[in-house]
Amino acid sequence: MRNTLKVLRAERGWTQNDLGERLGVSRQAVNALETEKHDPSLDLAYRIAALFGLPVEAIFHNPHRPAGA
Amino acid sequence: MSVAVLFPPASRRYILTSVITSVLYVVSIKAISWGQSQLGGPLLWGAILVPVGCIAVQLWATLRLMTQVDEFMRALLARRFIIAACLAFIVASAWGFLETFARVDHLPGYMVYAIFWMAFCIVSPFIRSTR
Repeated sequence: MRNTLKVLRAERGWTQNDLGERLGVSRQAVNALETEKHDPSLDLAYRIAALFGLPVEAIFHNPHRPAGA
Repeated sequence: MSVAVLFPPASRRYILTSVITSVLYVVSIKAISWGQSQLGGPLLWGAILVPVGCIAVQLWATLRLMTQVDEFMRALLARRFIIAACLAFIVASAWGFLETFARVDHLPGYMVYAIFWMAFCIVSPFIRSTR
């Protein structure tokens, strides 16, 4: 799932390990999210959104949203 | 990078359990094969419970690890586990047919467990995504 996680993380100067610790997941999980090898659960997506203070769809591209909506 | 980051407590417990059960598995099989002529009946059946128990504990440790890691690692382990199990079923079934119809050498049933872990090791580097 396309996302802006890497950009948001870099803006804060965090490593993948830093972000993983803040989210309670492994560095491998953060890497998998950033490289689109793992689609997060709803719970993890909400945790990420809460951490960055953004709506989920501002971080993760919603492929089901109709174009222009 | 610290040991705690590379090997979280759940992974350390899993590795420790795996090492203990693997050593006990090999030692118990060696001991049973060495002493099978002396052991008889119920004693032999009881002795066989040791390697079987090692397999059960090892599988339980693997399933427990899946509950203790994060969602990405859980999904990754589950995919690898399922695909390895499928490969083990296929190889064991194929060998069984070959035994029956092509008269190849007999493969003991307990070898399916070793085949499963060999398959797990082979598929793991190729399964790096949960999608």
